[in-house]
Amino acid sequence: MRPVFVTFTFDRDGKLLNGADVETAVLMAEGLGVDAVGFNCGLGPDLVARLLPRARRVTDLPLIANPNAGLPVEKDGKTVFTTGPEEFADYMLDVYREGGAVLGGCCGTNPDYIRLVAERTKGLKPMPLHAVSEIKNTEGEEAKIIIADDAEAAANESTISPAYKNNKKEKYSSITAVAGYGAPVYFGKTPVLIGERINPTGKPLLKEALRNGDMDYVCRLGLEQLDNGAHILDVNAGLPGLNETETLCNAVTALQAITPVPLEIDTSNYEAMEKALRLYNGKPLLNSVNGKQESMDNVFPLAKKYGAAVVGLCLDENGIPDTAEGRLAVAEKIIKTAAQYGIKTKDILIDPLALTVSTDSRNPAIDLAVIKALKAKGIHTVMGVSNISFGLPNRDAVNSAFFAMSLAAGLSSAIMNPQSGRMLEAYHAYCALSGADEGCKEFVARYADAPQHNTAVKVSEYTLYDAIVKGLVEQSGIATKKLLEEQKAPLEVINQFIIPALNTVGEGFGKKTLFLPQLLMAADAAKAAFDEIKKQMQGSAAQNNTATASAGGNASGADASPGDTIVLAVVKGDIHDIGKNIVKVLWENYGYHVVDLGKDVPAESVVEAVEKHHAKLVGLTALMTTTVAAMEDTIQALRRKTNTKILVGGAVMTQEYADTIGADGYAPDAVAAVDYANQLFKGNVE
Amino acid sequence: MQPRYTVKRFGCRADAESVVLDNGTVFHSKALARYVGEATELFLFGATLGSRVDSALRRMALTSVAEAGAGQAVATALIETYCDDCCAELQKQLPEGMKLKWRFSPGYGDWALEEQKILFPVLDCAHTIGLTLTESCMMAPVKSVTAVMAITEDDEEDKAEKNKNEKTFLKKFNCNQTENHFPITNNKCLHCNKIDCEFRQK
Repeated sequence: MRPVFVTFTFDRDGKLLNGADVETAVLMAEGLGVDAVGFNCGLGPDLVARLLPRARRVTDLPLIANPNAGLPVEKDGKTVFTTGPEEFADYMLDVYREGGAVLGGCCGTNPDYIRLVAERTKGLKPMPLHAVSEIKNTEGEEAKIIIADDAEAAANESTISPAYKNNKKEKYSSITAVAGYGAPVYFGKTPVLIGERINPTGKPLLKEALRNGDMDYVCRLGLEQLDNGAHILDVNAGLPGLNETETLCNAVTALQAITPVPLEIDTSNYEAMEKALRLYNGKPLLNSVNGKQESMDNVFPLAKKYGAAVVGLCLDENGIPDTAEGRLAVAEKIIKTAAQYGIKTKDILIDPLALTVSTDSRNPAIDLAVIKALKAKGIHTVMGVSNISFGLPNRDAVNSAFFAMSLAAGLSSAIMNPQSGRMLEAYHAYCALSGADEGCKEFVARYADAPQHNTAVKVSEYTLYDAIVKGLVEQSGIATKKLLEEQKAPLEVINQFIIPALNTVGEGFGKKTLFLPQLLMAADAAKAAFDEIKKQMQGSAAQNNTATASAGGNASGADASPGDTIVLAVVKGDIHDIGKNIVKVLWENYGYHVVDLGKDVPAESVVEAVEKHHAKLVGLTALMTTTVAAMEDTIQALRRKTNTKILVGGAVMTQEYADTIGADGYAPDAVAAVDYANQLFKGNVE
Repeated sequence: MQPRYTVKRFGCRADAESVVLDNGTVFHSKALARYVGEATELFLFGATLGSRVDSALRRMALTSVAEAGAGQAVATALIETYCDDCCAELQKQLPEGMKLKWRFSPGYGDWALEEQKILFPVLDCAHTIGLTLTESCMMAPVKSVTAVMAITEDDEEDKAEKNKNEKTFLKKFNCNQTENHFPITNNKCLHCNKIDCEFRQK
């Protein structure tokens, strides 16, 4: 096989056009199995020399450097490069010293440049793998240049990472990292938090969202965890009766559209695993493989092909060993087998498996012993901490104590719930105590202003009606809570406060006494009120399993019946969705169940959704003149197969246009869309 | 945010219905031809705020529709301001007496959005600034601009000519515009024939 060389164009901050860092691009290329990786074009040799150590930090593949002859400048209408051959060759020696092993030139260079570089570097061997940036960090700018043969000696006398010292024959960089398309997340430094909440097990709302294809809900779960400090998001879409491959792929795509952080692809379905790995942008974390031959034979080829880091569970054909030695033997088997597939040890994270202490008090000790033993070998670990407390009361107390013990034993990462305040406290306290959080800066920043006792009761200063009309999100939630506590029925709250308030705002908008910002703020405030109602309904549904559950399942639950479903889409070819999003929120505020198909939606998908949900109304929007044709196609497709009403809107739309393309109605703004739906569903208008 | 731009300078010639660049590229639009007028040179220009702005806007849309609306507005203002800054830079490179005209983009007037497909390869937008085109000629990342800027001579005679053009134009489209209103160089809307547009500057 011919070797594959890959070079990237970075900007001067070390970012690709899509915003990915040098480290991320290099990690991903290495994972995909390239033979050499590096830099081309865009930058001059001085800037490339400055960025090279960042590539060296995460890989020991030979590094390529083909810089421009400096940065281009415009001179008399022509592009010229300012660095001459002599200067270029001088800089290329710096590039060499920083680890450049394959040297060349891009824009502005010519054979004279390359000839000079060849002369200057004649007889030099490539810098040793590993040693370059590490040694330079400790000995300052005037680092010794060590030729390749001395690399091992250099490793012994410097601060080379422990894994390299323990196994000098390993010829690869020992840093374990995964990435989305932003900055990578490294294991082995500050412990890594993996958010566990995108997993339908025991979560009825997520189950329903996945069944409805509601990826907005999945994304919100992701955002909440990131806000609370998760570094990586676990994504599990395994649900009986659901096409896991499709659901997992949709979730990965939706999450990667809103965040550059790494995802942990969590599935035991090999088809779903492969499709998700293929779609994933970056170097993924894969959860999981185990010591069973069947598992390793299926997972490792995929992990190798797509360059994933893999979580290895300490269990095999004989179950979960009940000794630390037994689990370590499985871990060793997994690492050895991975090596046979060409997967490096750094790309395996071992899960010692937390089993509940309530059935066997030796369980925590086994985990801690496994973590310690692996840590000593420089192998990283990951664990689902909360299983330890299964069957016990006050699980948070047990979990957070065990979490702190595991971190002290050397746990590299935890799969945990970032919404749990006590788990986070344990984590941040550990980081402060262990020195990972230098000067306790993080800890102080996080907790300095936190109330010591969470007993302060927030008082509503406004009525719910006023809060919504004024667009006060927080006050709206508080006022709703108060009403519910006063034993007002949810429907009463909706019909006596929320709907009248929205009507007032809508009327004001129509009369131009209120404008779009106020309308949107009111919509957000109404949404906060519905969220409160939904919470309450779930509580009561869980308690007595009454009929409120059906209304609670609705996104808002106003006086619309469950049949009042509306399908909403931006037509094919158009990607402008702000208007669609506004209409969606307002419709939901009025209690309609909105099936949001997103933007750039083909006609067939709209028809399919209308048939599936028996929707009596479809909303279509388009911003651009060029996509009106797609709207007409969609309408015709709907007419052929359904008898749904069709409402159109969007900047380009007019009543005249709407009539021409055969729509039932035209909504110049979101309030008009609400009026149309209210008339259709509640006014018996044909 | 990673704002970037790319620009190329071409010789050009406008006839009644099209503009021909000296590399053989042809754009078909009466409005564009009228905009280019007598100019013999122009810039092709592309700029973007980058894909992170898109994902930030998507994030806002998930949590608050009001924030999302404001975010859209801010991002739009940012890309326009960034383009203005770029144009000011380009203006500095022009010799005395030469002036960069305002930006004229595909989709203005009768210049079909489809012609983005002609413009994009000439600027090599994907490689230079990470700007791509969907099948239906939408730009991704969303907060992006492509445009033509004609390079004109900025002498008094020319100004008089513009004034005359302006009056003819106003007359043609029945605009109730007095002479003291915006000069034609500042009001892009005057070059657009969608006179029922809600956002038309008067």
